[in-house]
Amino acid sequence: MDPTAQVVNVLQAATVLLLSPLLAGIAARAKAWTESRHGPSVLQPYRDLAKYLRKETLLPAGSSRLFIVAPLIAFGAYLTIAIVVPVITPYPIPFASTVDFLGGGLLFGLAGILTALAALDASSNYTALGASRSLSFAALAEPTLIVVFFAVAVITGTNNPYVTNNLIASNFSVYLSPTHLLVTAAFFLLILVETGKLPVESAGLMEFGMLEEGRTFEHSGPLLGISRWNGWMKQFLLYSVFLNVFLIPWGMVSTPTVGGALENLILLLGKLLLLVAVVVFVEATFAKVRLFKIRDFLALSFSLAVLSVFAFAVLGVP
Amino acid sequence: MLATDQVVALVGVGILLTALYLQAESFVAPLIPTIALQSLLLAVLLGWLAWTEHSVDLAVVAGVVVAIRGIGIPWVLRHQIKAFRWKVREIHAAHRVTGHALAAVALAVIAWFVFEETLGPVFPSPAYALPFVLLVQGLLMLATRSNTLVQVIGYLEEENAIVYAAAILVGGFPLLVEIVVFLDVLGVVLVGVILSIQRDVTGTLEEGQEETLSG
Amino acid sequence: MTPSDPTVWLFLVLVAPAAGAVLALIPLPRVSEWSARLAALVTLAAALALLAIAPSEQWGSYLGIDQLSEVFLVMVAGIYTTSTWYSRRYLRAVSHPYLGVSTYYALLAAFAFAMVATLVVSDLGLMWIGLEATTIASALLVVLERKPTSVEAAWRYTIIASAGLTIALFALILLYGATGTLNIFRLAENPPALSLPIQMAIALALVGYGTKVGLFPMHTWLPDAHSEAPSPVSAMFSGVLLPTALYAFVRVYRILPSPPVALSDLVLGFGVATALVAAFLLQRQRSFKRLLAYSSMEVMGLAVIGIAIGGVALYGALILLVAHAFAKSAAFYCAGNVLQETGTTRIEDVRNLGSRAPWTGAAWVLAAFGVTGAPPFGTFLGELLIVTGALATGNVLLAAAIVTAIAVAFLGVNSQIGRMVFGGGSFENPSSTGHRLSERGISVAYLNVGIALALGVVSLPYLTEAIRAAATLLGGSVP
Repeated sequence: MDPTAQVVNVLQAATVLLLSPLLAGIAARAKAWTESRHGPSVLQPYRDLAKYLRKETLLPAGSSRLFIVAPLIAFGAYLTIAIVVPVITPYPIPFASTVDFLGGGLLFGLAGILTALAALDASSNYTALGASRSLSFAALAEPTLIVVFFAVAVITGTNNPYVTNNLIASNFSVYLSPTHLLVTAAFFLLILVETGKLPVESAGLMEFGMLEEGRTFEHSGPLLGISRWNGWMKQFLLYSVFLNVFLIPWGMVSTPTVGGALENLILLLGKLLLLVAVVVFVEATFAKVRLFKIRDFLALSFSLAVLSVFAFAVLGVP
Repeated sequence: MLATDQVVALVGVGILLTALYLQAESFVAPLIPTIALQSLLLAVLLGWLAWTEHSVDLAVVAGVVVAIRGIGIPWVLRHQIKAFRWKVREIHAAHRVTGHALAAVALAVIAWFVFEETLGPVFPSPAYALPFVLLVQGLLMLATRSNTLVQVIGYLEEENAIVYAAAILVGGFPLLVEIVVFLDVLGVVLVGVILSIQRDVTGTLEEGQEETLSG
Repeated sequence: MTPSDPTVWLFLVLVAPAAGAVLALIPLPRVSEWSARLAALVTLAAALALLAIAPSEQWGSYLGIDQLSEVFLVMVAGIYTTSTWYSRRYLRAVSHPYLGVSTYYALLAAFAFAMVATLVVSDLGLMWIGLEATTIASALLVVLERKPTSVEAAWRYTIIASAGLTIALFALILLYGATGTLNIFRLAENPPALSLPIQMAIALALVGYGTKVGLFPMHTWLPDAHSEAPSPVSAMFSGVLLPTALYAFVRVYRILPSPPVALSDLVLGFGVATALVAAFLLQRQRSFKRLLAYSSMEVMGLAVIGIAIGGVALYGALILLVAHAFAKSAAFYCAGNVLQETGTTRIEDVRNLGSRAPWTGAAWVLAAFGVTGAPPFGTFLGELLIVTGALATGNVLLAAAIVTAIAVAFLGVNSQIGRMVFGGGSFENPSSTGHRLSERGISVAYLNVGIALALGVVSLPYLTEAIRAAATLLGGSVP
């Protein structure tokens, strides 16, 4: 096997692993800035992780092995996704052919369901609430996700995110086609739901606004550290996919060297900052919608996704 | 330079987006600028076709659409809303946003398939099915809403579909200008008269008399 | 320009209702009323003259008549005249009018003008405009009384009818794209070849014009509009508006000299569904005006069946339409009388009409027989011919369905009307006993019933011939 490719492989996994807390820290700092607060330092998530790893683990009475194992398996799933989607390379790295786009979506689903099951296992009210809510809305978000995959597939004819990235980066008219624009919009709305941003979820200490965050309420110590890390990795991965495949696919250096990968890494950080700015803007502008309106939100996202496929049928792709 | 087919399809998708929005939105006030936008998109298409085919008829129709349906009728509708003030919140549609949005999308796909299956071979590109899709969207709006103003907007959507069809399916219809003007005058008159009658007699725009009517 | 020149009469038939509409706006009730009546009479005279004089005539590329339009023209003019006559009596007793007397007569004349215009033009696009104009005029007429139900019924009618007509316009666009012309005479001379757009256009026209005819499932506006409109207007709805919309559809349908089986089956399906649904929904009606409305829907369904089957059934459909128009209008005039005298539209609240208002009661019973197709009325002849045509196709199931619809409607309408006229009153129900009711204005009902009867029994001068000629024109056969 090509050693350079292996190094890039490891580099990509390490990027996702190590930089996702940083992204979360930047996002928290930016949101605090919009609220006229000083906000925590951008390195706070790392300190939190260190703190969690030192603390003791308490298990709720009546919980089973699943409670311990679920965050770990989810961790593994997210790491797998990390080497499958385009993060720092526009060409497939050696392990990228493990699963395609659809498989990546299924891995996200696996992590989600395990976390929800562990939450139910904890037999606590808040975690059960979080689990039931997140699963109900996931059920509505899944069709949108599938149709987004269809849209990607019809644009390029394959389900390979790398091919999509190349096609859209090289053909500006494809970028501007209604199919692509609509699917980008639909995916953005989906990201807001999946990563738990306003106007869908209000994170923090507001239990009634929690969808996903409520699921990890009962974990403690290192398990809580792993669970939080999972959330950060999920956010990092979703943002990367959105940026590299849909929104800003340009600029990636395709020379298969470590230097090229590092350049792309810097570029990725820049793009992520941009996306964080957009998301923070959205969060600051909209109030949280009532719970039953989230269904409307998801229905709209679904409609946009279906319309994008429909637009392809009507227009074709130039 | 864009080909006619592409312009037709691009405008078509834009029009379809406005149709989706019209169907899914539960407040009445945003619907008025949306239908104005839809009419303007249509006028853009008409203007383009008039330019490429050197058709005076289409240019006149484009002008009429902009003047009456893009500006005139929305103005009248907004005037009517002011007369009702706070009472123009759709009562039944508020909980049905999801259903309406999904119904709009489903019906758009079905209508497109129906048109393509029956008349697909006749027209050069699938984009020619869009006027029929828009017509069906207008019908869906009429069927699912019970607020008079919203039904008027659904009717305007149907009229847009007609002009759209006449423009791209046959490239000009002999009495098109007359029919468009007639329809728009009809729309304005009806909107003005019946809405004010409704205000006089019932005081609300919602339909509520089904029980009494069927006796 | 001699009296035998059809141009004069065409001019009169168009100008008279228009002038009537304008003159009726003069805010003096007497003047308004008499100008409306005069206009109606002139229209009728012109229509009869056109019937007598000209078999077929064209004026330019937009105006033209043939026997079919002449027959319908006489029907429209006749019912318009009797409705205008009856209106005087009806308007006197309206409790909370929203429209003034002048506005009413003006709108009535405008309504008639729009229908006449639809019938004398030879361009399908202009025909469409005429029908759309009838929607406006008739919708405003429904709001005569100041009730929320009237307003809602008027609005529903407007929106549903306009939506349907928009679909019909879409059909016309497809038709124009396929054939390049919308003139019915030119289309008759060079019938276009069968093609997908034309078939789709006819199917869409069926749905679109069918909305105005009141076919199932687009009929939802019909009972409401009929029950809320004033009785003379209801008479015009049932008697002439529905057939005029059907006329517009027939003009489109008959562009193809021999329609493919799929298409005629589609039309047949709509007709059968309408007739059966109407016949069964009729049983549940508690208001007599809605009862009559559903009966109209059933007859329209039968007429559509006749048109789809063709041959003898087509001739039957035409006779049915004409006879039904007169009989149904008579029934509505009686209903109007009863409504205003007893103050209720509920069937169970009206009893003992036979002794309280014998002339009205008798007229109503006769009109009911006329409407439901009892021999020897013209409607019976029409329905018989339709059933004969159905049997001739060999489709026994179809014939059975038609007979079922006819029988169920017959029993439904006549039993209810019989109950109202012959049923004994009880002292608990104050509206069912008591004094004699005023029977003013009932003579027009007798006139119309007489015409309906005559159509079935004798061969009326010019009219019967014209119906036969119209049937042949449309590809039917005449026994």
